[in-house]
Amino acid sequence: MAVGLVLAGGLGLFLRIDPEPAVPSGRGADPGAFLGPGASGSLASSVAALQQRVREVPDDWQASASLGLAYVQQGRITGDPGYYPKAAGALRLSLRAQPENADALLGLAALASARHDFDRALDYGQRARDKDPHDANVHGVVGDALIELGRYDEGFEAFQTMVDTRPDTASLSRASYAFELQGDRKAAITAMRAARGYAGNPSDAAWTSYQLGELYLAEGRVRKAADAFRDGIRIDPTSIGSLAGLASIDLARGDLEGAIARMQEVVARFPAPEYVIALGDLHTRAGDAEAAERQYDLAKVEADLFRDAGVNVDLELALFFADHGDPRQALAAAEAEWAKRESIHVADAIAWALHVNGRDEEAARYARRALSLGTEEGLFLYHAGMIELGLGDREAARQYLREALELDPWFSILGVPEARRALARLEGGR
Amino acid sequence: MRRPAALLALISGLLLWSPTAASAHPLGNFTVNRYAGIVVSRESVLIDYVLDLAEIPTFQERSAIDLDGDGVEEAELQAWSREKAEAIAEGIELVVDRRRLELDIGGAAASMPPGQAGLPTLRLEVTFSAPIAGVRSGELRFEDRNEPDRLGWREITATGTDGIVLTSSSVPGSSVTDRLSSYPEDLLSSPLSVTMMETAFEPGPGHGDGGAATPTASPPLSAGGSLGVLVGREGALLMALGLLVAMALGAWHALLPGHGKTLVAATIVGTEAKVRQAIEAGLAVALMHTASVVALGVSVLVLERTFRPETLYPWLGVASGAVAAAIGTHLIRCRWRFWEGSGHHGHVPGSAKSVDGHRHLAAPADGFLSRRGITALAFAGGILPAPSALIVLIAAIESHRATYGLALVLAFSLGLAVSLILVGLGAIRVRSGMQHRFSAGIVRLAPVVAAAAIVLVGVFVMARSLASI
Repeated sequence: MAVGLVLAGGLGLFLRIDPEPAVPSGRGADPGAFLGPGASGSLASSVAALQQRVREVPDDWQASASLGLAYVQQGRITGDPGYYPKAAGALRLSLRAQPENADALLGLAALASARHDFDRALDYGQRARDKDPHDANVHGVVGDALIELGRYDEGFEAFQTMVDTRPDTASLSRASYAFELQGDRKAAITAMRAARGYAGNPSDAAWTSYQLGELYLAEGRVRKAADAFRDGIRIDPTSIGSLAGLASIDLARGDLEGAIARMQEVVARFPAPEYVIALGDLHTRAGDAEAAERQYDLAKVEADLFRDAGVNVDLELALFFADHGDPRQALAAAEAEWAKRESIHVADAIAWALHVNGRDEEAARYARRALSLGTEEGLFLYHAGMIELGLGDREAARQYLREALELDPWFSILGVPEARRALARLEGGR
Repeated sequence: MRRPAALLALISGLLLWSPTAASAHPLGNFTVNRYAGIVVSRESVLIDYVLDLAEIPTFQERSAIDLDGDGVEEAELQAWSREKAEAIAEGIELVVDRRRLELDIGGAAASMPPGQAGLPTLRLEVTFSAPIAGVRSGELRFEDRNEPDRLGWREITATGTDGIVLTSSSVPGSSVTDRLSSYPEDLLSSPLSVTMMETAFEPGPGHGDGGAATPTASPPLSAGGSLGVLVGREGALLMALGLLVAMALGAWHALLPGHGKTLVAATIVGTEAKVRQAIEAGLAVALMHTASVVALGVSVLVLERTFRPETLYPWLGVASGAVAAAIGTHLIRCRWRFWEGSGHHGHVPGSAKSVDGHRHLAAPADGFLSRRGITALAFAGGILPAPSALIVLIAAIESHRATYGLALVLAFSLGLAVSLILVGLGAIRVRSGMQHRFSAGIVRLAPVVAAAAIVLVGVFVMARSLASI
């Protein structure tokens, strides 16, 4: 709580102050140039310029570090993991030329996070921070890793330092996430709007619009959410998240067919697992089991591919398997992840996996842990409600389910109708 | 559907956000990769098209291949190849000389090489073709509009064969991936993302029609057509013949609509020039034209692909038109002053002695056509090079026969000059004929009308050139 107040204080201060960075971003080859405001021109042209520079002067460790970070960024924007090996190569090149340089360590931390290797991300991030504590971005990567590892207090502190060092899109969007995790969605929206104000290039602006859309949708403000998603697409037509967001809007407005068509377009353009599963769920809701199965099969194939490439997707898989008829695999995946990190998302996954295996007693403990930060996450509340129902505590179940639908009315495609049905039964049977 | 995306996104905030993660495939399991190898020959445009689907898109495509759901059989794969090839053809725009060509599917074959995690990938190779017999030179544009938003490598190459060369191709001639079979893993290169190309093509050096210079299919002088053929000739006799033909073509060229002759004739009438001046004017235009061709030809060769003469043409047109309009305006003004001042000829070159004994029509001895006037006329009439002459010069230089090429261009320009001189002389004849037959008023007016015509021609040329910019 104390941390939350500190964060609010610091943020409030900056939101009142002029939009001037507290610490100017100095050097020209600063990797921060790709991350925050001031990044002008397209990333692709920056990459091309940096490639040229490194080709001519392979010893320029700042250029190769910037290039590595730019590759990570490109992987983020395009969703093409093919950039990551290149990023690793460029960053290693930079470290060879200048051992332990902060820019390259920062890039390696970002890369490890992208690969879901949060322990390593923390290690690199802390080494970068030791070298250059005045760079806002090092606090960002450290905070990201800490949050994913479930070390929330330290993570929020790192975000606070980042915002204090430089209020910009990168830091303010992290502040927004911190607020959201702690159940203060209003503050999360305010911070994300500020983050959008600082966006220095179209892809950042589109990304923050998409995030705003998600936050508004969680608030139940469907029209505002739709506007934000449309903004995102207008600013950057390749913004796939916003397109998927519009499918959620269709669904929220009761247009299941429209949602399916929109999600099919998303999957045709970029078949990331979360979109594939979402399309399967939409088909399931429409009663088309065969079409749904095709998408679920694809999701399983993707899981195989990720595992084959040594990528950890246990958290995502646990929920998928729990919801799609493989309780044993679900539990195995969730337990494997819990052994690595004890975040609220993993707690929720293990709770739900235990529930589908009929072990509600243990599940309840994890479900409470998932809600311990006060996050207004409909999925967590819904899971807690169903677990209480399994334990026979109808009053607790009713409360959780009601909260889920009130606080986060569109939390999941299949969960929402399920929660409504269960709640109707509970209230009707009273 | 919100959670997974939001969660992953927020994991890392803006600094990095990847919905997926690293993979062994250099370009990722998500990619749909496309290669188009364009080959232009005298008969047709061939497209060697390769579609390479990574594991995930292959899986997505599976239900379209395995129609009966019992595994992919060879027959199913071939049926799919055909269908897919047709779909791809719909998304391709191949334009030759502003005409969109229909693509024929020559052959389509698919295979399923093993990929990662025991999953298959899919590789489709299609040969498209479009006949272009009879269009041996021109502009070609290719655009692939298939699935623009999918991740993947997109590569285009283009070459000429069978005596056709590409002169300003926007893409390289060979594939860096060996037709999507080995993707470079170079640290310092980004995936290619080329979806369209443009080039001009023409018969290459030493690859004319073979035997005698018989321009059959293409009309004379359509962008280097028959004149281009001349470059390949060998032997003294043939060379001499070539020069003669070039001269004839130049003379013919001058008579085609819109080639300075109106300008010259009108100027001769408008300035009451004499025979000597008519010859000077014709030679000056020819000289200017040669210089212009050489200058443009050299800049094309020196600047290679960065410079495209087509882009310069409209501007040359504007300049030419502007100078012509200025000449016309100047003539009208001089004429006006001449009448008004009656003997006060301070601004007019030459003196006010009578011409042909017709006092009332007295004009300066040299008419109104000064040296400067001739230069301006040459500029207006000669700055726009005949495209065919330009191409001849370039082709000649590229085949190391620059001198001969220059000679050909000179001969061409000379032919042009002869035509223009004849036109000028004809104009003088007509003018003096008029003086005997028509009333003084009409004769007096003729130069003014001619000057006005020059202005009109200039404005017209300018407008036309501006419209094409």
